[in-house]
Amino acid sequence: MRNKGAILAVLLIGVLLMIISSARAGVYLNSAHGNSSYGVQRSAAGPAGYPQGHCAHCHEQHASMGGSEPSPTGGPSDYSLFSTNYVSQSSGVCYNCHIDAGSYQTGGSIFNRSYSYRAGGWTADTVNDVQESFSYTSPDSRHGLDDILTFITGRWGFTADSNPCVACHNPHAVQGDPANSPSTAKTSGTRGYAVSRPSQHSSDSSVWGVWGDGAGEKMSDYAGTYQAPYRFSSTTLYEPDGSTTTDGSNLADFATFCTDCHNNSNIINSTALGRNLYTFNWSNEKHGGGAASDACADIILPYQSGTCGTYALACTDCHEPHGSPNVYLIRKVVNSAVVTIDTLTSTAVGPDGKDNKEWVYLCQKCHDGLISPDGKHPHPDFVPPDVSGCSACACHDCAADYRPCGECHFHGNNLIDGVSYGEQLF
Amino acid sequence: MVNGRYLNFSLYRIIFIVFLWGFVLPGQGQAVVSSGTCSDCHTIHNSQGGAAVAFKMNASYTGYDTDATPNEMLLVSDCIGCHSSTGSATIVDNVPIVFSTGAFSNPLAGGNFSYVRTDDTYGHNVTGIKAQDGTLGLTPPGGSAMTSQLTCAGEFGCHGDRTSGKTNFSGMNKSHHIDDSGGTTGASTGLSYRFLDGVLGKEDADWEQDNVNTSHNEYKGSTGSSTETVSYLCAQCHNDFHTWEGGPLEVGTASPWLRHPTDVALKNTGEYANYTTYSMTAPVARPNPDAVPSTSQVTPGTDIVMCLSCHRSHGSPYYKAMRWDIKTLGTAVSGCGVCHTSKN
Repeated sequence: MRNKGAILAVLLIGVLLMIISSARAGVYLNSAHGNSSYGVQRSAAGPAGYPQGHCAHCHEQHASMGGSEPSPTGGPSDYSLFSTNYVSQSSGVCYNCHIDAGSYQTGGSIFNRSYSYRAGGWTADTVNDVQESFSYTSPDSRHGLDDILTFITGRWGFTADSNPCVACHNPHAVQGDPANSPSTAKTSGTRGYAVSRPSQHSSDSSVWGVWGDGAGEKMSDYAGTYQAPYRFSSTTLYEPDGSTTTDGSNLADFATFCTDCHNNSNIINSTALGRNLYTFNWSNEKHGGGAASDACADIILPYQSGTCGTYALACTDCHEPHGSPNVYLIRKVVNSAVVTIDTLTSTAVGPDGKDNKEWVYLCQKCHDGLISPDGKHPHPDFVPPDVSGCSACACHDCAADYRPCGECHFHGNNLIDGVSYGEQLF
Repeated sequence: MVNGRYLNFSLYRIIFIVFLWGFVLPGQGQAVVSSGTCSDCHTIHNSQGGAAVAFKMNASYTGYDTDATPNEMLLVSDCIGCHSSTGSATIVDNVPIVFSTGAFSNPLAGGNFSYVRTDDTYGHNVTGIKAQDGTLGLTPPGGSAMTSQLTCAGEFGCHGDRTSGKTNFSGMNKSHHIDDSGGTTGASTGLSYRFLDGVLGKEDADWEQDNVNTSHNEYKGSTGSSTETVSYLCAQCHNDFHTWEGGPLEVGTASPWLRHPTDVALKNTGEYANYTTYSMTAPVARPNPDAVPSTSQVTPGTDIVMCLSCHRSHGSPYYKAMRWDIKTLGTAVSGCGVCHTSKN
C-alpha cells in the first residue's frame, strides 16, 4: 500500500513537472522552428553543433562560427540570417530549407503540401514543397511575393527589407498544420496554427502570435453560418482535419485573416493579372458575411438549401494560399471533388461542352443545375435592369453561348455591364 | 599572487594580510594599489636570504615556482602570477583572480581563464595560460591575423597601453599606482576602466563576485563611433563584429542588421521594451556609467547593447565565452530572451 502511494506520488510529480515544463515553453519553443525534435537544424558545419530548434540554425550572430562562415557562405545577410532574406518569387532564405531536395535542413528536405492535400485530404497532389507551390505560372496561379512585399512595405511595421513570407507567417511562432506530418493530411491530433495576422505584425511574438488558436479566431465565431466542406471523396468526413466537426471550431478564421489585406480599401497590384485586385467587402459578400437573398434550391451537400443565404465561407474553402494549378489560386479540390480551371475563355471545355463555362467546374461543387440539359445555368428569367431575360441574349452573346461566369460573378461586384444588379453578385 | 604555498611560508604575506584588513578592504575594487608595502609587488634584487623572491606559475598549473629571472619593473611576478590562484576564492587579498587552476566558485565579471584550459572555444587563449587557438590560430574572428599570440596587456593584449612594442609589463607601467577613486576618464591606462586604455566605466567593488543586479560594473556604451566603449576595444581585434568599426557592409548601421549589433541602443519598441530589470545574464552598457538612474533597471531606448551583453571577456564554461549555455536549447533561448523577450 505504501509502495502504491509512493508510485502515485511520483507519477503526480512527474505530471506536474511535465505541465510546468510545457508551460515554460513560449511561442518560439512551441513553434515548428523552435521544436526540439523536429525544429530547425541546419546541416552545415558550425551550426550543426547546436541543438535542434536553436536560433543559430537560421541566425548567425557574427556570420562566423569557429572562425569562418558556415554554408551557405556569401557574407552576412539582413537580420543576421544565414542567407539573403528575400530575392524573388523563387529565391530566398525560406526556400533554403523549405524545399524537397537540397535543403539545408538536416536530412536534405522539408515537405510542405498544398491546402487541398492537408485540409482537403487530396493526397494525390504531387506538389510537395513551398518553392514548388510558388512556382506556378500562368494560366496557373500563385501568390505574388513581389506584389506582397510591395503591398506590405510601410504597413504594420513591415519594410522594404521584410520577407513577404513573413507577411503571413511569423517565423518565430509558425506551427506545422499538420505538425511534423508533412506527408499526411491533417488529423485532429496533429493540428497546429500556421499563420499570423499581418495587421498584428510585431517583433513581440507574444503580441504577434499565431492566428486561429484562441477564442475569437475561429470560423465557428460566425455562429450558425459556417459549414465545413467535405474532404476529398468523402460524404462523412470534413475539412480541415478529416473529423466530423462541421462548425468551423477547428478552423482558423481565415476570413478575418485574409481580409487584413484583401478588403474594400486596400489597393493591391497584381503583376500576374496586370491590374489591381478587385476590392471587396467580405461582410457584404454572399459567400462571406452577407446574406444571399437569391433563391438557391440546388445547393449541394453538405450545404443545405434550407440554410442557403446564411452561409459564410472561409477563403480557404476555395483558395490555395501559395499557389495552384488553377487560375486565381482556386484549389484543386473543393468540397470533395477535383476542380480544373486553367483557362477561362476557351472553346467547348465546360463540363457540358459549352464555351466559357470553366468556372462551372468550381461552382458546381456546391451549386447544382449549372450543367442542366438545356445547357443553360439557372439564372433568373431576367437580370435587372434588363427585362427581356437571358434567353433573349440581352446578357449573353448567343453566338458564343455564354459569357464567362467571372465577368459578373467575382468578389466585390454588384454590376452587370456597369449597371447595378441591386445586390452582390458573389 | 595567490599561491597557497607561498602564503603559508611568507611572512611578508602575513603582514600584508593584516595590513589589508585594516586599510585596504574598505576601498576594495578600486584599481589603484596605493596601500600595502612595495614589497608586496616589487622585489629590489629578486633575492631574499640568497633565494629568489620572484615567482611564476609552474608548467603544470598546479602551483608556483620561484623564478631566478627578475621581472621588469622589479615585479615579483607577472600578470598570471598575481591574478591566478590554485585555491577556490576569486578575490584574494583584494586581488581579483581571473585564472583559477583548481576548483572555484563565484567567478568574476570577466569570467575565468580556467575554462579555456579545457576548451579553446571557452575563452581567450592568452599566452601563459593556453597555447594559441587550435582552430583560429592567430586570427581573431572578424579581424585580421595577429603577428603574435594574445597577451594580457600591451601591443597584443587588452589591458594597458596597446601601442606597438608594449608588453605585459611595459603596457601596464604605473597603471596600478594611479588613483582612480575619482572615476575613469580614459586619460591614462590607470584612469581607464579596468586598465583598458581609453575605455570608460564604473568598476564594481567586488568585480561582480556577488553577481547581483543592485551592485555591478557599469559599462560605457555609445550609439556612435566612440572609442571609449568596451565594445570598441573588442573591435580592435574583432572589428567586423562591431557596428561602427565593421560599418555598413559588415554589421549595418540600422535594422535589418547584418550581424548582431553592438554599441546600439536597445530598442524601446516591441519585445525589447520589456527588458527593464537589469539582468546579470545579459547586461547592458550605459551612455553615461556615472549617471545611471538605477543600477537595477534598464531603460530601453537609452541603454546599449555591447559585446559583454553576451560574452565574458576572459572565459566562461560555455561555447565562445558566452554568458549562458548557448548550446543547450532551453538556456540558449532564455539567455537570448533577456533582450528578445518574446522569443521563448
